[in-house]
Amino acid sequence: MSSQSWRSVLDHKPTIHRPDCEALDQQPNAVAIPDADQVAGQASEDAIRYGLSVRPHYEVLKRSLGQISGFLILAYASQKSDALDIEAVAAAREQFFAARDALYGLRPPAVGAAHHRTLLRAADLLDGAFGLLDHKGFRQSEERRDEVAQRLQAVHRLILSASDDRFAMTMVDFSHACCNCTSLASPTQNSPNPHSRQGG
Amino acid sequence: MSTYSIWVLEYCAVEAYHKSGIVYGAHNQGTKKLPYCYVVIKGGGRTAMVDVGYNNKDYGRYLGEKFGVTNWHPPETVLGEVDVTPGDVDSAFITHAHFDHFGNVEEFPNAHFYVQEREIAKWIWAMSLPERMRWMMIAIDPGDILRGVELAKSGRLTCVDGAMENVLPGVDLQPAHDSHTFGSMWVDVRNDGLAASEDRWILAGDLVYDFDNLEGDGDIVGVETMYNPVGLAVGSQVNLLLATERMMSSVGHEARRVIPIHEERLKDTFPSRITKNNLRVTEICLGSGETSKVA
Repeated sequence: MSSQSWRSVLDHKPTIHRPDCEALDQQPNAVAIPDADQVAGQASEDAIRYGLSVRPHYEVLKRSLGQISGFLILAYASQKSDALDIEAVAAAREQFFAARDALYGLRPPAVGAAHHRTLLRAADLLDGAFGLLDHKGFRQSEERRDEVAQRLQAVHRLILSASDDRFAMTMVDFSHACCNCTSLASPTQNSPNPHSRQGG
Repeated sequence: MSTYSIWVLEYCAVEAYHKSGIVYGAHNQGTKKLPYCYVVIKGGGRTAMVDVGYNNKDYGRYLGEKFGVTNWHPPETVLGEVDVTPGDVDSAFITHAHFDHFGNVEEFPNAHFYVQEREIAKWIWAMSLPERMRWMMIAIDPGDILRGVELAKSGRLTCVDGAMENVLPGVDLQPAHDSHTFGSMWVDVRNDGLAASEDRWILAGDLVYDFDNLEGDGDIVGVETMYNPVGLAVGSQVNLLLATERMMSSVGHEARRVIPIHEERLKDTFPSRITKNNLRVTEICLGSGETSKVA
């Protein structure tokens, strides 16, 4: 990691939660980026610019969630002692740190502030999860594994709440061949957050 | 004497799926109905499923809508048609990690799940690749992988490394790596329990979408029928074809014994009925002492 990245880590020390902290169980509200019906003029421009600039970082947070989840599955359930691929962990961590630093370096407009804060919270939780993953004896420590799992649940809720398909911030990528969606009217035309809890 | 009964249960459908996703190279050939199904294997005191579908609430509902899914019904309703409850299911074999196969694990509280370790490990790798290679992540929901964590944590998930014989008596898991997905597998039911079974059923997951993949028109190359691989492959169509040959060889090239779960025309080969919810129940075979659920 470069010295700049380390400084960034120190500047933005992640929020630490105990495994039983209520903050990890909070159900976040959807934090949609306002659309043109809600804000006009410069604010609308700002919202679009912000949405486009933050999307790559959302993407990495989402991937980090999937990667750490995968590592945990292998740690819990693989029958191979070397299932936790050190190089894969390092690659995931490097990708995440770059996104986290960029996210902290982003100066969101007022219309994107709540959305940005949500992603920062998710990044902080992931940061802590990567820290636990790095710990020697992680695979043997049920307590550490459980703490990572709990953090990931919180991250998942935060990322869902910050999803916005106008900017291609969705948990599953629909832009390619397997899906059938392009010819369909979007069911979420009035709800840019595709994951907002409606009707359950 | 057969040990297991096998039913293919439709739980929803995509009414107009592009045919090129089903058969490689079938461009500009329109769309066809793609039923979404899972399989129940019941017998010898065990109840197992091949894949578990997805949950049509919250994010699952959004996914379903984006994929054009209609007429979704919960496992309690769907399994009830063959007198099984979700709580009865003790084993679930996940053929691959796409959302419509691995997206409803929480509905099966007593099931132990099996997935290929490679499926998990390679998705992790794919998620490390640059954005320009994001195609490899299609149809994967990191949220589903997170749900897998809960299973693993509670000791209810086994990561299988390659083939696994007798996961249930007479039931084997067979890998088909780098085919439809990185770590796809099929389920091989030897219904007479013999190693050299003469009563074998292959539950193909998405390695075969429909009969056209198994017995496509071979006119173009001067044969009666030929394999045509599935259109969607994160791995390769070559590996899909090789897997198809392995599956077909294991049943003496008797195509009806390879079961494609997205095939609407299963009804032409096996007895079936439509439920009051307009979902099809197809009876592949009946085990000893079991009564028909489609009569």
